[in-house]
Amino acid sequence: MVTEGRLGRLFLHAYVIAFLVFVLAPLVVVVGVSFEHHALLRFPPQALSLRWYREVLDSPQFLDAAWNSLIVAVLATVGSVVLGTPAAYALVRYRFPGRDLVATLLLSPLIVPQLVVGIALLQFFAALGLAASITTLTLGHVLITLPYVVRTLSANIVGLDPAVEEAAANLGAGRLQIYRLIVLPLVRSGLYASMVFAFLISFDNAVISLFLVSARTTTLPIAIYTYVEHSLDPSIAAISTLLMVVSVVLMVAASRLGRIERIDT
Amino acid sequence: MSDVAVEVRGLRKRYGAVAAVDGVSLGVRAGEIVSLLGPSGCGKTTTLRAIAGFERPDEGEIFIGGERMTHVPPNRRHVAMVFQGYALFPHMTVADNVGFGLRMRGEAAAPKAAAVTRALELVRLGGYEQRLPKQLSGGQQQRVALARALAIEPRVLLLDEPLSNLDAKLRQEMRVELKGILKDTRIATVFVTHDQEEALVLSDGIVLMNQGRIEQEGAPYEIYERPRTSFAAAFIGQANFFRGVVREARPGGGVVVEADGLRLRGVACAEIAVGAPAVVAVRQERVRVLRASGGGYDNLLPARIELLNYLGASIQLVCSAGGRTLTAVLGAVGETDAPRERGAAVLLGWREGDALVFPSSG
Repeated sequence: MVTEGRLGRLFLHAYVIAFLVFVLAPLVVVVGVSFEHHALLRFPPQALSLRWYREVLDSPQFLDAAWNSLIVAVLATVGSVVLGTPAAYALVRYRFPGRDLVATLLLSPLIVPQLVVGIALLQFFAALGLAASITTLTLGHVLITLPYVVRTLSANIVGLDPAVEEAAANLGAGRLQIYRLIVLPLVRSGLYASMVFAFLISFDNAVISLFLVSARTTTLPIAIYTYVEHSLDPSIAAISTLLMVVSVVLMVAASRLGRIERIDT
Repeated sequence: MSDVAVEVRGLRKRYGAVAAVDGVSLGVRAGEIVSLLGPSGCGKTTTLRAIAGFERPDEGEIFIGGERMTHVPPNRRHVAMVFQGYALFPHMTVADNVGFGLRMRGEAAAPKAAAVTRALELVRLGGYEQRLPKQLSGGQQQRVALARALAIEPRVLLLDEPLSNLDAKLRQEMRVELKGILKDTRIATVFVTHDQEEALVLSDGIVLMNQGRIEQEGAPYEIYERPRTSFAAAFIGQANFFRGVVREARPGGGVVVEADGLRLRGVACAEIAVGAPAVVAVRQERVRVLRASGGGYDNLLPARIELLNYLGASIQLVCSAGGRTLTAVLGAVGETDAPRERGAAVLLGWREGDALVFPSSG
């Protein structure tokens, strides 16, 4: 029995290590390649340098695209949180006709292939006579980030005792005061998490953006995609590494804030 | 009329095909504690929530302090509720919880702080101002919920099973303490409970509810001693029941009921005619356990002791008598001469006045 347990544990450790290697290996390669001095995609790098980082950070093409991505991601995050928070609240708290339909519609951008959503939006905006702009791009991104916001916040609101809101009303709080003083503080960790989700999903979306960008509104993922089409050098790896760092920092920040909230409440 | 703090008139509330509350009317005066008592689903909580404004009545009116409040939203009723699970604000300190109602009323900081201190002292939680609810025990959370409700000096205090989440010992302590606080503050109180003992101890008046209707209302003593229906007799206290048919009815209430060959003498608690089906209820503490002869008892039944349940302050005897099971309760100290050994043949006796006869519906 003892040996069997030990064998089992050994197998489990091996499995975990294999899994982590499988997930992380491509990322390690990208990070490694980004430090290669020569214009070669080579792993492990032979001559270390920060040359490609400098090039990326000096390139107006990438910087403009990053700036566009940042603006769109921030606007899309604000948009989907502003729309998604009341939607999540209503879906959890109230029973109304068409509730299931609304819930399905809100989650449908997760289910319909993004390619289809992209084409549909392109035709929709064309039919309305709207030219590609930051606004149309943001609207498209709100559409695909909304399901994540609604899902994350719904899970949080389900955990709120409705009696707590009733207690606030009983003590004299109006609807808006209940949202501001009771509901929002209690779902704060969910709000942070859904904001990070929305931001990251918008920031690295390529498929929807492909249909909605113009020359002036190119986003970072599209810029990378275009760049790869005609040249292949470690600047792509450098920019990918930078993107990864941004994602990791945001994720860690969100989980930290979430944890602090849990200790508080 | 003017000192009626809360009045409910003809309240009706349906959920789909089920009538949760079916024509309930009641009134509570200032300083009075009234409990809504009944099994789950009897409509007591719906009635309480309608007073608080959380349920919209289908029919009927609600008056608070003489004002018609039927369609006033909960935040403008000036009633305070203590919820079953306390519903404290988990992200606020004890002081912020207790001060919340005053904050909503725009009270200035200094009088608010003074009121919070007063309310916390009332529930003996002075010094806990800066704690968070989850740092408190269940009993302490319960006190914070009470302090939070009392801090706004409500016209009516509503309590929804406030003691049911506490363990048995603490529940008994809080029961006594709660009664003291409520009597001191003299706030009209409506108190929902399914625990008969809680209702008997705490209330000035009990409203016994069943299936959305009021079964009986009155002082605890009246409800216990003079139940008007077999439901009331069954719900409060523990009784032995016999089903039978009325054979004789004398003016003054004395009746004879024949139940499976037994002729039982009792008193009618409601109008009942000869030949009508009836239920006879005899409270277990009114059943005497006798050795052989039973002088002075109107009803006597030979039986055998099957089980003895020792309850500390009393002993419950479970007896069999011709295929039926009867229970009797003896004080552990007195009645030492009563037989109390398993298998003993005894006579169970009770007086006519202790056998309550009700018309039977089925």
